[in-house]
Amino acid sequence: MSTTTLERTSEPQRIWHEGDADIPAEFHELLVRMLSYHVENSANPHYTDLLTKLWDRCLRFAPDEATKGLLVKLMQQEVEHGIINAQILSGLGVDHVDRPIEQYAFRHPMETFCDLSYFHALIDRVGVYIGETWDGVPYKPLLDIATRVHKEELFHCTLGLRNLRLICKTPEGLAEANEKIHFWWPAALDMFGRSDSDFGDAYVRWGLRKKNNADLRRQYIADTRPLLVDLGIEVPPNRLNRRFL
Amino acid sequence: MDPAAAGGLAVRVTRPAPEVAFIETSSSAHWECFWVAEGEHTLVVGAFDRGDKSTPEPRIHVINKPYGWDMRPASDPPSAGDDQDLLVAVWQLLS
Repeated sequence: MSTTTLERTSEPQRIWHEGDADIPAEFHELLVRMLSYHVENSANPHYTDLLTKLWDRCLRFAPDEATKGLLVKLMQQEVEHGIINAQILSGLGVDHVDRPIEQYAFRHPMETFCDLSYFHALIDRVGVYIGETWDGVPYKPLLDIATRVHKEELFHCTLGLRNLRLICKTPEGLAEANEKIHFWWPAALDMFGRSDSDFGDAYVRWGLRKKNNADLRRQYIADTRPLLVDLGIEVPPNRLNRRFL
Repeated sequence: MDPAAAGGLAVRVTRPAPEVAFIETSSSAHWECFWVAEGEHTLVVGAFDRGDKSTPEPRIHVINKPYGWDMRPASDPPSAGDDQDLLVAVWQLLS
């Protein structure tokens, strides 16, 4: 098991551009792997299916028109993120990905506004930590979009938290939130993958990620658990109902 | 922890007048501020993100006021939720 904290160094390093002939093979392979596994990818038809489901839930479950407008903005950005990722992958020679989305959180039926709000507050929040922390990566196309995409993911998870706050204002809403946290909390923690992943450490070594899976998950828990507790939600133990440790 | 922190994101809002707000938001990887002024038909939003290498300049946005725009906090004194609501509304405007 990997327990060492690996962090990107601050030493100046080569930044590769799209089409550079001397991109190291391992780095190219890791870039393609990372972006192919990344959920937001309009070159992957399974992402289109997910977006269709989410658009439906956003339009049907929004409790008021102001919230609907906010959710539409969020969805517009999710579509754009998929297009950006597909364009960057194309620049690496990959024009099509047909990869079912593996993380089980995305396959969970979203039956209520509470599910949708947990999805944004907890699952989108993972993207702030692990999916789109590209502000220091040595690949120019990712560097160019890093700040924008990161800020938009902050918008998504902050909106999710705001919506959860609306839900938890009523006893019925809080009861539902306390029931559904038993799925969404472990699902969010499992999004970080296995703590002993070799790929997590390789991403850190090549500057594609700041920390490995275990460190990122610890940071996520430290940041996020108090926010849910503050809303009155009883968050289960971190290891309960987990599928990956 | 900052009461308005959202996943490592702290939000601080100052409201010197009902039509004016200064919003500061920060995390370990991000610091950005906004200044919002509301007129009868127009909003002016200033934005500056000192960590954004792709847009290092401060920006000013002059925007037709969205229908139903309301930046008054729901509670007095304003709650952390009111601050979060305003930040989300400004992000919606600018993105």
